[in-house]
Amino acid sequence: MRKLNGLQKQALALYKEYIRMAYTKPVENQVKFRKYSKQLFVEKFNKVDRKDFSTIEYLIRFGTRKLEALQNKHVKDINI
Amino acid sequence: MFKQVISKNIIRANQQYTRIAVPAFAKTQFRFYAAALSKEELVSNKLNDIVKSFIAEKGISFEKPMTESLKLSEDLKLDSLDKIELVVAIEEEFELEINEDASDAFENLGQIKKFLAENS
Amino acid sequence: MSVLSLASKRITSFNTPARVLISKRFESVAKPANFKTFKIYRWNPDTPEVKPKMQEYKVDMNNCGGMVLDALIKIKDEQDGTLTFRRSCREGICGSCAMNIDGRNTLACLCKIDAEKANTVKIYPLPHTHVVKDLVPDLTQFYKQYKSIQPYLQRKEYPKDGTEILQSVEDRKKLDGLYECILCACCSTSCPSYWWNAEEYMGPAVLMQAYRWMIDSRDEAFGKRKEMLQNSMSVYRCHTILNCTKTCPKGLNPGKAIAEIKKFLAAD
Repeated sequence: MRKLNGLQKQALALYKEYIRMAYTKPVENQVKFRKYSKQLFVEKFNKVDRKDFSTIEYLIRFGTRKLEALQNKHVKDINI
Repeated sequence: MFKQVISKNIIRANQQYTRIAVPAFAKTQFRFYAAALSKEELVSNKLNDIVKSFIAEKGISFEKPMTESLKLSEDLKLDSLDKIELVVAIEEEFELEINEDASDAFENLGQIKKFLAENS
Repeated sequence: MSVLSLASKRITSFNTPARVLISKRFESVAKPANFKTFKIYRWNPDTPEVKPKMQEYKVDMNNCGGMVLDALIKIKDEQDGTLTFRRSCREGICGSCAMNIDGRNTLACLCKIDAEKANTVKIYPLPHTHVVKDLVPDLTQFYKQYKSIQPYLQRKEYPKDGTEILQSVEDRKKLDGLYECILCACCSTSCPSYWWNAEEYMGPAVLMQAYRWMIDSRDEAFGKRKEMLQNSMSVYRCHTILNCTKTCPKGLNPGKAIAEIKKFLAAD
């Protein structure tokens, strides 16, 4: 595997927070939260070049904001 | 999903049992509980369960037995995101935290088992 | 040129179609088109991999209002519906349309277009903010900081009969030049200190409001307010550059308010 650069690591660390967030949700909906996270990351990050730092920085900011919204304990379910 | 919950309960029960089995009482424990497993086997079983339910959730078809040489990216076709999901699943079940440097190095099941045996 | 825009321009006398037609002919003879070019920053978050670009629009100043906001609305209505910007009151009281026009942070609705000059007008979002889309900046951090200074009246006792808390004319006067701030963020985003230390330095707009509550005769939390700012970052990153005062579209003086806070802090 290619060595990851700092931003790629940040993006993966953010994904880890998404998955951890999924585990705080009601058991019957956790799979949906994980699927949603995966889809979001694949859709947003996969088409971006790994050297395109400004775009990745934006996506990390965008993802962090979204995560903050999802972490709200009143968010209990999600549909894709 | 229910399958996962049940297996989780069983694993938790096992875990409490191993916590009681501190070395000083090890012999008596073995006398009364003939089915007691070694720590390594417990870790191995638990990990296999996690991987199996993970594979089921992801819809990956993989019929072969869970050997130590099972490769995450080649055999199970996991990408870097899937790998993180698996690591968090392990963290949740084993109630520990795996830092990025350690988890980045995971390539096959054997490496994860070794890490868990040393750190859990 | 649509019938509607003409009709609205000549509200009173011409409203029958025939009249409108005549006026249209008359106008096209009387006034040659006077095009002004607007270069506007464009960036779309749906395609983040596409770099921001400057897009040019030409607007005939003969049938466009005199302010930059009028031109922006005209462009959005008639040329490019995807152009995105915030606006609301169109009279400089809501602070929504703060943006960087020809190198100066100001409100688009209060910024006149110089129709005589041939130059193009360059429009960017507020500098050093994360962009949400086109001319819309993300002001989350700015609002968080505003919230952190607790911008509301704090006191132990209120009049028992539920009436207002009275204030002398002199005390009320102290708030002039402070209460008018509409939190458009023009000053904060023009401040180089704020660019580099937005995480910890409060920025001129927020500090001016902090000062506004410190000197309010009805407020009793002076000590607490002072203590919150008594550190090396919150206030003291102000190096009296005074871009804030220069740029304020409401003509206020955040630089002076910060200086007054520094006096309070130094007196400790």
